[in-house]
Amino acid sequence: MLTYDITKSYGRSYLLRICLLIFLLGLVSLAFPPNAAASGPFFQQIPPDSGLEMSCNLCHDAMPGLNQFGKDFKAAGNDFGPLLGGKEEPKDSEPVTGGTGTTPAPVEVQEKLDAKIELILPGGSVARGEKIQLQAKVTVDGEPVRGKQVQFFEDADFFLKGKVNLGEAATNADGIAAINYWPRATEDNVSLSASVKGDNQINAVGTTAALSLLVAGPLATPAEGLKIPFLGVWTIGLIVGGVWSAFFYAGYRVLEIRKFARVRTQEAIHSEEERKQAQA
Amino acid sequence: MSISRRNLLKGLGLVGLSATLFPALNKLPGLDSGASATSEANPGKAKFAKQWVRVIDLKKCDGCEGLGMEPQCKVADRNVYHTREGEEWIDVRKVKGEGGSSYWMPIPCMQCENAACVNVCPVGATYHNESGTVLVDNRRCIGCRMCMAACPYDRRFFYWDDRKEYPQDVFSEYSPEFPLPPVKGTVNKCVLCEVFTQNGKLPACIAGCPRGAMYFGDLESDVATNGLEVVALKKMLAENNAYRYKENLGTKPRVYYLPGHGQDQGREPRE
Amino acid sequence: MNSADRIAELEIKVLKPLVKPGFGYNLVLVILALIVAIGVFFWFGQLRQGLVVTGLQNQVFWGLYITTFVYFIGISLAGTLVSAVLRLTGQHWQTPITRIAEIITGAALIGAAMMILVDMGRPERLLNVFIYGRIQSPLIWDVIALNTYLFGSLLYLYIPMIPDLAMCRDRLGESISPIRHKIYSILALGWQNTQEQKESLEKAINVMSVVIIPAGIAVHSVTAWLFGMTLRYGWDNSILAPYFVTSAFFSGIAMVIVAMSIYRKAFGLEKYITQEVFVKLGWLLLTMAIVYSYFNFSELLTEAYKLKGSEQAFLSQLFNGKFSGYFWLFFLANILIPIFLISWSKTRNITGITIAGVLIIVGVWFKRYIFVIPTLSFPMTPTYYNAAAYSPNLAEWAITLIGLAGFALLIGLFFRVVPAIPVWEVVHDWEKSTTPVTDHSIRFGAAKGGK
Repeated sequence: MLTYDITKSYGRSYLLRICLLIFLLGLVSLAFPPNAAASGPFFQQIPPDSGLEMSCNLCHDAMPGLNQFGKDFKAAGNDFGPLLGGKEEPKDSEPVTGGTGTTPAPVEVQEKLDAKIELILPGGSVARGEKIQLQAKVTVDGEPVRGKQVQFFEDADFFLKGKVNLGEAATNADGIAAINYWPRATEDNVSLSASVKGDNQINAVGTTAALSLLVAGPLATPAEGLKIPFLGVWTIGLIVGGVWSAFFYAGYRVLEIRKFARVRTQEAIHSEEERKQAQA
Repeated sequence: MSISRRNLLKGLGLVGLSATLFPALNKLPGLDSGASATSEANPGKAKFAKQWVRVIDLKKCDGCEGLGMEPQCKVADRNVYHTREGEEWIDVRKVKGEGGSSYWMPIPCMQCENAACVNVCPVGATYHNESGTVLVDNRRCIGCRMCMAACPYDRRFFYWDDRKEYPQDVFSEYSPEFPLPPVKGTVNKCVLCEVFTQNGKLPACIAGCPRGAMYFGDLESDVATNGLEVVALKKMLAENNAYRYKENLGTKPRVYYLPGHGQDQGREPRE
Repeated sequence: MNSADRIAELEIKVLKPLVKPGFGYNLVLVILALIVAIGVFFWFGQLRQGLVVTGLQNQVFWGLYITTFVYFIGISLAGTLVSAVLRLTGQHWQTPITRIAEIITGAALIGAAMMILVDMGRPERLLNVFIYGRIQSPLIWDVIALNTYLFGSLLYLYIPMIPDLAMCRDRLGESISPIRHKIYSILALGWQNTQEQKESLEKAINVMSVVIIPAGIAVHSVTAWLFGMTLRYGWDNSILAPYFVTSAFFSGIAMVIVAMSIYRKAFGLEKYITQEVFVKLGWLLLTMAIVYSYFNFSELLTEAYKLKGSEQAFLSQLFNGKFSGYFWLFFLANILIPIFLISWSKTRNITGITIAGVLIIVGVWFKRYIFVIPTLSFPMTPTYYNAAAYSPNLAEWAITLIGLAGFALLIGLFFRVVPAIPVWEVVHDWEKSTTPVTDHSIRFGAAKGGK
């Protein structure tokens, strides 16, 4: 016979042995834990060909303590770039033309370059109060620059005209600085501007753009009170009405007394008259 | 068809009578606070009513001590609304914080969203206008002072007598937004200078603060100004750990305080 | 003596003050009227100048007027307890004093309304309360409840009075002026003591005695909620409504006891308002004192244990500070001494219980003062830290006395025209208790051992 039932042939004990084996294998496997495949929050930012391993041990020694690499990462504003020792500095200095042979002291004649900044706004209309990303791209000669501080502003006319500081961000490797922004202006479009701070490498420059808003309803509505089911003015009306009805009922009974008195006097008068008539 | 003269007169009388009732029907108390005065809507521009909010930067307020003057916000209030000394609608006090700190704290009317004063008024004389400002209509107030009992911030005042210090007040036309002339036997409070703000001017105390310590903002469009700069409101509140005074009472006040020095060990001034 | 003599004696005793009240009684009424007149004079001054004539200011803006208002509302629960609750529970010893209790209620409610009127900043706008009234406001609840209870009390005072008015109409023929006789006749509604009229009256009294109880309890509850719906120390707790109701019972019984003593002596009603009534009311007073202390203790213990917010500073001023004198005096005079007087059998007599009553009706007024003023004196923000203390001045006292003296005056005048004892009800009770029990035996089956 080719097919047979294990339990029939070898009895229950065979099944038991197989289970035990699997269990032991499981125990053994615990000794070889795979790398924690838990995703770290910054794994996605690791540049692909940097050779950095995606593991917790990259930045942490004893969780949640940071090792030196982790501390450097945090100090760099959660940016892996500087840590890679990448020489992606912009071409920011004229080659020093000097005499051959001798190495003159580096002359720090650095003419500041003109940077360009453009605002990148979401296309179309944005609903008021919705979170959007305001982005600005800073380029020098068409090349994106990294690490520049960009400030974002909104033009507001609120008792006085002024620029409202919406926030600051540094440009990343693509030259894009981004902040979160919740547009709340009550107009159909809001005028935004971004400017990059001048430093010893570039000049300051700014730009403006308009964002069109979809204005639906008011967003800041005052708080509402507590809602209690079935409760309303009618409860008071019922109780007070009930009590007053009882008063009126009592009053009615009291007036009845008067009615009975009148009836009695009428009867008395009638019986008097009848008596007089009977006498007569 | 012919109508007798008697019936005609009766009919006309009924029509006339019912016509007089209609305005009264309009005023039947509903379940809202029954605003009796309509504040002038901002003509033209804004699509939605602004929701006023005040932000007070405790780092900047020094009670005008450094200028050697009494707090200028109180002076402004007295000048505009002819309130008496000690009864100004905004008060500025030096308070002791936890851990021995002390700081100056301006205490205006909180213009609460869940205002205790509005809730308890028996005749609806105090009410919220569309911007959330709490106003008092002294043409309806009966002077029971229940609202003064309910206010947990001690920011309502009573005209105990006829105010005669400013005879020129008699030429003002009374409105809840600008409560002059004062009405004896009624309650008064900060009106957030509604007449000013509806015409593009900041409230007197905010404009009058020499330190720029107070900001006036709009929750709807999320901006605020102290007369010198315009800031993003929510950003300023979030970045400066803003808090509200006696928030745990559930009044939902519309005045935010930005904590200043010396409040590290506790946020509430001595109550 | 047989029942007819008994009734005749009662009627003579009760009707005499209506005609010849005695010089002393009239003198007291004149003095009270004078005090009220002086108060009205000051009130006119207040109407002209505003509330500045009082000692009130922006921090303590409720003073003697509101204190007396709450006091009167408290006293007004007397009628409900004595006339209605005790009647429904079959306590027939209360029959002779129902009218005293009910007029105390009525006069107290009128006094309370008067105190509200004098406290308003714009009394001429009183109608605004009815035209623009907001049902969400505790004050409106108070207006509704007070009017309901006032109307019900006056009705409940009047209904059992109808047979007595008939008695006045019939017996007082020559002794009084014809106008007065006419008024009695009209108010007596032609009462002839017939069977149908008796039934109607009984039905009316029964309905009123049931419905007046929730009305009375509601009145004091909503008065408590005037304070309980605020966020102030001492007022912001949920025990306030039952606490006020209990203290109302407490002060109401004490007021009835005091009035009983006065009228017992003034009109010679010793035979009808007996020691038994005093003692039973005394026990009731004792019970109420204990329950009242219990509520008071529970409230203070809860607050003192937790010391939320600035509760510590607030309670200190009550226990050790500015108001401690009043507070501990109240506790001694209002709670301890009356409990002692009633518990000790040597003092559990008319004198002892009357003294307890007097201590309580004065002490409860001070308790209301301790309830209202310290809370308002305690600033909620730093703004009023150096505000002056509140002290009531002459005008305020005089106007408050309109209420207090007016209350006594109303009762005094009332008992000049109406018998102090509800004769018809008392006689009714006598007849019920002397009805002979039928003496046939009831068989439940054959006796053991018998056939």
